[in-house]
Amino acid sequence: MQALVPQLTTLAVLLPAIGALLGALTFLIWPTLKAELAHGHDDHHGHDDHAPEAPTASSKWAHYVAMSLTTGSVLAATVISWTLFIGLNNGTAEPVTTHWFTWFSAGPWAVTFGTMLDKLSATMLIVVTSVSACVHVYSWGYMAEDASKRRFFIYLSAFTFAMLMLVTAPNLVQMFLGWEGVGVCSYLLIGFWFHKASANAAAIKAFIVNRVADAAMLVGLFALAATFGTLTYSEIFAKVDAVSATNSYAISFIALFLFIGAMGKSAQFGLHTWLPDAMEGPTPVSALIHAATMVTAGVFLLCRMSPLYEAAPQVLHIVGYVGAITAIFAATVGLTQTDIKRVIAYSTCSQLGYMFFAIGVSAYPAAMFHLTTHAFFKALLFLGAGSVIHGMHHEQNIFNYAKSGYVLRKVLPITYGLMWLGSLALAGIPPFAGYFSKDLVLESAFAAPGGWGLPLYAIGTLAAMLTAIYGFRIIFMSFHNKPKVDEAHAKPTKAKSKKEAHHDDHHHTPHESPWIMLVPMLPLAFGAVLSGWLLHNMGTLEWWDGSIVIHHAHSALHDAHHIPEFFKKLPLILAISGITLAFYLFAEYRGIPKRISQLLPIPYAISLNKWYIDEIYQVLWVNPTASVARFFAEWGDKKGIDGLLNGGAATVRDFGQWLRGAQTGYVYHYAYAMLLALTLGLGYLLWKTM
Amino acid sequence: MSLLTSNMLSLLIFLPLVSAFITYITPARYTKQVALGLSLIPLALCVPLFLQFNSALAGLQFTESHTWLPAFNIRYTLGIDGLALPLIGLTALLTPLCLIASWHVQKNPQGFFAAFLALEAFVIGVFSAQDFILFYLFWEAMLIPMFLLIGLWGGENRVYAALKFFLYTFVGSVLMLIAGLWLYNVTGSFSLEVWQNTVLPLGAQKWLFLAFFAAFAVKVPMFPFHTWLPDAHVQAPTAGSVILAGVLLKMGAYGFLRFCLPMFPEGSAYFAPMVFTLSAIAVVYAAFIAYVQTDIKKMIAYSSVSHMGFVTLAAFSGTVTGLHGSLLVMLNHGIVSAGLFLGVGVIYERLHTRQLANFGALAKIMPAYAFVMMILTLAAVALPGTNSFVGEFLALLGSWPTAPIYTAIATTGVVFGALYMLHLYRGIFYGDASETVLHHTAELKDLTCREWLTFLPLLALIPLLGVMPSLAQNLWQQPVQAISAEYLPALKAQIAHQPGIPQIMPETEQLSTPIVTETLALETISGTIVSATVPVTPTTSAH
Repeated sequence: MQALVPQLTTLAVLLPAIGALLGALTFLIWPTLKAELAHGHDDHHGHDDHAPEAPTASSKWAHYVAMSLTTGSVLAATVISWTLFIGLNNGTAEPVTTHWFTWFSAGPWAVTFGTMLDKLSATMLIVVTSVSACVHVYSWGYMAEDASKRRFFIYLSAFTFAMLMLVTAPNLVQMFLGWEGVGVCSYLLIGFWFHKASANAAAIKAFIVNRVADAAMLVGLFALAATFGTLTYSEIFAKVDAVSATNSYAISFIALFLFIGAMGKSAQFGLHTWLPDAMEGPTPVSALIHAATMVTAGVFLLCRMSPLYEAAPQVLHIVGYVGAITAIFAATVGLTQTDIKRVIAYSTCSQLGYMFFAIGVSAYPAAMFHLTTHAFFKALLFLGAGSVIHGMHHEQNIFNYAKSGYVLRKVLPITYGLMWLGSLALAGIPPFAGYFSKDLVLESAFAAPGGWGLPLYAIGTLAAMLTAIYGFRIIFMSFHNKPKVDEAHAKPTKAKSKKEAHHDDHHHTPHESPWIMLVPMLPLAFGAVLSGWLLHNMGTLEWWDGSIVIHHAHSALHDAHHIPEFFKKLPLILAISGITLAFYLFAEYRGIPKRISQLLPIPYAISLNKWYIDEIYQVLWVNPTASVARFFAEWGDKKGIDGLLNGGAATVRDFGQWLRGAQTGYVYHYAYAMLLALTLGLGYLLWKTM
Repeated sequence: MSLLTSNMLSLLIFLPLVSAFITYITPARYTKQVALGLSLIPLALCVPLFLQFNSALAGLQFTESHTWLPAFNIRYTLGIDGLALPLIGLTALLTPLCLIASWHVQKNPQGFFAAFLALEAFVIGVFSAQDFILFYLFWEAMLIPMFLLIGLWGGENRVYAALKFFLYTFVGSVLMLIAGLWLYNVTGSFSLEVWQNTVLPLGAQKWLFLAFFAAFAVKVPMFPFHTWLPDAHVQAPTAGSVILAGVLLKMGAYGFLRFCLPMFPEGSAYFAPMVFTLSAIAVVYAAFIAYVQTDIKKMIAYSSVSHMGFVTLAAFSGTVTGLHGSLLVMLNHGIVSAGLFLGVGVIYERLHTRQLANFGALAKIMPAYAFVMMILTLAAVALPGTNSFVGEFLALLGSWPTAPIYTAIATTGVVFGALYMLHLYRGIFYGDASETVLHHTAELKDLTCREWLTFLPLLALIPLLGVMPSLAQNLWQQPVQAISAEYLPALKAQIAHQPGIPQIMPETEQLSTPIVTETLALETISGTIVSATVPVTPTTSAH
């Protein structure tokens, strides 16, 4: 086994790339087809304008060849990843670093391509490949009607490759390659339906917000390189103690700037604005990229860099508070959103906040544990939401499910059951996965030395209750409807928009999703139910075999088991009350939420409008950028530099004309001029000599 | 063969010149075929040039030296090192691509193609001349075909743009000429080698630097001498823009590396803070302006100014890393911006407009074109894996130790760079089709074979140099070491003298001292070497 580990790791990383490349080659054999040129499938109004032409035999081949190649390669990568993970777990495989070849070298820097396999990257490998494989298979059904589905699969596989490069990189530059690579794939997939203006805007927003974070991260990398003289993980970690002894300021600077980079990718408060908009992408993309894998890259990075962060305790405090703020902020927003995907997106944001505040109290294992369980149950929730959207013909507003007049739990019974499992895991109800990991996060916060984590615990516990409420709000609002809908109860808060009215006219019958979509949800459901129990060793430092380092003074994780029993149970009690409350508010007495919103208009408006962050940024960043750019173009270049030059040219011309005026032709003018010059010149010489 | 190798550079200069003459007298019917055929000869000659070039040798190779005007000790001296070689290769590659892209030139094709070949000759001359007068001759001669290309085959406002281009560059060059004559008075020679071995007093170095700076800063172009570039690009025909962005801009940066840094190291170091400032401004300022342009050619022109800011910043940082980065950005920008201007040409040929508002939804109508432009766009935003990334990364990494604040400012350029490039791409390819597009759907054929031919070499180079930049870096190892050894000590002394230059973490350099002990850490490309290591030994534990 051990002899094969390096090759297997390399293969696992490269397989999705090979799949994507082979899939892309189908474009050489079957160039873009007529059907692909027509309008694609569309989340909002796709059912009325997609695939106007019957697919020909060759077009079917083109798609199925590409889809099989990509899906097959990712499935193979999944099998290899699990082999490696299990091997590392039972000791038949050892951590190993592979060097492929030198990427670039200049001056003191030599950066190689390669892989680094240890418990941390192996965990990420199984998370990424498993969810990716499920999403690939699911997309066969979800994207079945899309005219350019092979492009979709190529992007998915390319994303998987970039993500694997990110997690298995042995140095920060290759990590950055994966980091930017997933960003581009995310951009391409959010904007997959590129004829939609909203999708394009969301795609660009995602890329730019991430680039802002990446610029900070690059600064962190440059500072790190200058301080440590290397960009390779193992060499950095070996030097941390020496550097922190002489230059702890540099360590804090580096840690802070790398964290800003992580905030962008992991949608932490302040840089989260792209994530809800990213829901413009097809739902399988949301499940894979914007829930389970890419957005967790920031958490992974901080865990990977744990030796560095352990030497920067002030930065850890910042990480903790940013995480906690994100957790509560996103939870409050999730309460009032009406789009099923956006609710889950804010939930993701909130759960990522939990992971960061676990890191803040140095409970990296708890963060990674929650990352793993969250990947399963959140992907399950998204795919379930996708199944509902698919069954409801691209309706995403949960209030419209209520109005549809169908009882969704009867129409979509399997999806309904799976959504229950996912939501219970999200809410942290034992024995589901989220219970183990989320409780560990909260207990670690409570046990943080000196009690500095108590506010985090309080915020997190409150957010846990909100999580249960918004999680089950989806279940009860979407699935628990009366057959003949009672208008008084189910009236949406907003007036029907034109588009929604247009939808109502169609009267499609909702249907349960095909097996090709339901079957890939089963492994995820298995993970959502059992991964917390099966993988609970992830919550201990020992399990990580040195891939995570914790300073002995940062004993939060260690002491997490010794906190008072009441505070251990409190999150669970609140979660159960949250679910109960949700049942009454959103299944039984649906008039109450409306009353509450009328009674508390200001909090309601803040939550509904996502704390007005987008509006604030519009004023703070977007508008000034455009104004400054226009100012530069108009006053800097046109009127400033060119104005000066044209003015200069005019001056030369005027001066020439003035000189011409001096050429009078009168001899005595010249004589006087000569006399004057002579006097001045002689006078100057005299003055100099004296 | 020995005759060929010993006169290789002369051949590379005079073959295109003769070709230009032949092209000019060929009947119009065959002009383009003849010109293209002839332009392939220098490209073919580049194969032995690259193969026989020994990157391990310091100093010049393929040297030729003949007496020319003995009265003034002016010699016909040619020779190249690793700085010039890749740029000569780029010129020889881009010229045939430009000719293919100009297949539909109607107006006086003989003149057009002849001017292009002459331009190639003069540009290669600039990169291989080792005698100042010869260098100056090529430097100025190059203006003439370019002036004609813009002024005769350009857009509606071509005369203004051509004059602006000519005057700007000419004024800068005159100052360089005066400085050159002064140096001749001091050294009695025009040989660049002699100049390089002459130690000049600081006062003289300052003035000489400024005079040469005037010529090169205009050419790069650096802020605030850049305003000729957008006008020239907008008015120039597609091929003119390609060669302008691809090669001509690099002449300025090449000049800095050939003249300023090695010949006037103290003078360059004295003005380095100014160059850093102008470079950082250029990166951000030009990116902002690019974002609000409505003309797509202008956008790409401003993006050139922004990218060249990285080049000058990194060049004057003086570290080996920075110089590597600077040269890589030069080369890669030559590839990517050439591709982008070719791309603009594709759509201009079909719709005869360059206004961003006149496009839209082309991804649906021209998918192959959309694919090509997406690759180029990703390369332009320096996505890792594309060629531009390593260059920009090394440029910034290398600039950090000597100019951290400026580097941090320039780093924000990656945000604005992405902003305007994605804005540009969305405007052309996504969203709803504009009226113009709807009315001309029939003309909007996807890429033709001829157009694919122009893109393919560039598309191949993007991932190749992205994953193996060492292919190019190995060429310039020696000159980079030499320049850094001359200039970096001067710059460090300068920084030490001026406490006003902001530096974060001054102590960090002492700790790692990457720039003091910059030794060549070259790893040979090896197969899969496997080493089993436990990644980290936990020095501390919670238990």
